[in-house]
Amino acid sequence: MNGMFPRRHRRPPFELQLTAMIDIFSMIVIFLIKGSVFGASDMAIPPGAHLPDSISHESAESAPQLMIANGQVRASVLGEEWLPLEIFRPAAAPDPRLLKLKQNLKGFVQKLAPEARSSGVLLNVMADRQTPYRDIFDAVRVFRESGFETLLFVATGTGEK
Amino acid sequence: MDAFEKPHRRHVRELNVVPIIDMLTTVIFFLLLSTSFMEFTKITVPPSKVSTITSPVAPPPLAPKLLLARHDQALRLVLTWSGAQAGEVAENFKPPAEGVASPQGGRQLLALAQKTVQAFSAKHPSEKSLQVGVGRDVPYQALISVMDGARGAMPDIVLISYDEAEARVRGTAPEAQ
Repeated sequence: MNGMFPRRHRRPPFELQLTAMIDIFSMIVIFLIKGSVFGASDMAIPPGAHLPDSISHESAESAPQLMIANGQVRASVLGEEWLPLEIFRPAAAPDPRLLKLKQNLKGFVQKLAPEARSSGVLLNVMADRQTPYRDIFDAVRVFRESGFETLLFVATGTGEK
Repeated sequence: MDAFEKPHRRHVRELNVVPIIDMLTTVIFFLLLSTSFMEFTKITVPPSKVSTITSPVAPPPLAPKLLLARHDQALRLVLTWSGAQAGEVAENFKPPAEGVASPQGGRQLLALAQKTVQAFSAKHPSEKSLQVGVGRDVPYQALISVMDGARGAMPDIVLISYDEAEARVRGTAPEAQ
């Protein structure tokens, strides 16, 4: 002891390395901004599908999806069930699954708010670029008959401006 | 006991940020490399319209149709229209070796459709509605390329069936080069 009032040791200040942390957080922020898809966050591309390229500058919109892949069709508003394309053919015998689908789609359209229907009920169509037009047209025809009026063919931008 | 006891020295622990930075950097690089950035776009096909002509002297719409289908082992692009001076323009399209659904094939088809529709639109600037149809086995990319080419001059697009497109294309002859 060096007397009654000992000299207190100075506590070394806690030094946070702010520069490195700022660098990292800036990178995270830029990554998140670049990686976000605004307005179309619920788009799910069928596995293995390559969307067609387009020079259109219209931004994708959030709307119910019609997915056509591997000879099957799925409507996002009706869950995870895939239906075979063969039942969508105009010459095919009436199939109870198709009748149920039409009924459910009509019910979905009727429940939409009037403002959502004012500019035509939207439908995002997503399919592989190699899909034959016959598959696209037959599937889309059923959805149009069920009340979906405006078709949005989703594609990937080519970057041309 | 001393009245002025020396206080216990608090041991300050310094956060070791260097390994955290290393970890985060590794995670970010992993995420960046494993993510594919994709820009979504869309082509809108609006609801079909019914137009009523009230003027008895107004000429009826020409109802132009742009069709693409296979004919004699090749693809043929046909633009046909009705009216007092009905006519059609047909051109054969030879896709590159990679196919019509390849990026190069898409660009070539887009340019051909653009040229055909712009020539028609220059003669009939009031026509803004175009019916588009392709053959049953024509890939989806070809439909998108044809619509991309047409939309600049005629933005209102209506889809027609593959049966009609094939029937119309079979009954046409290509333009003399």
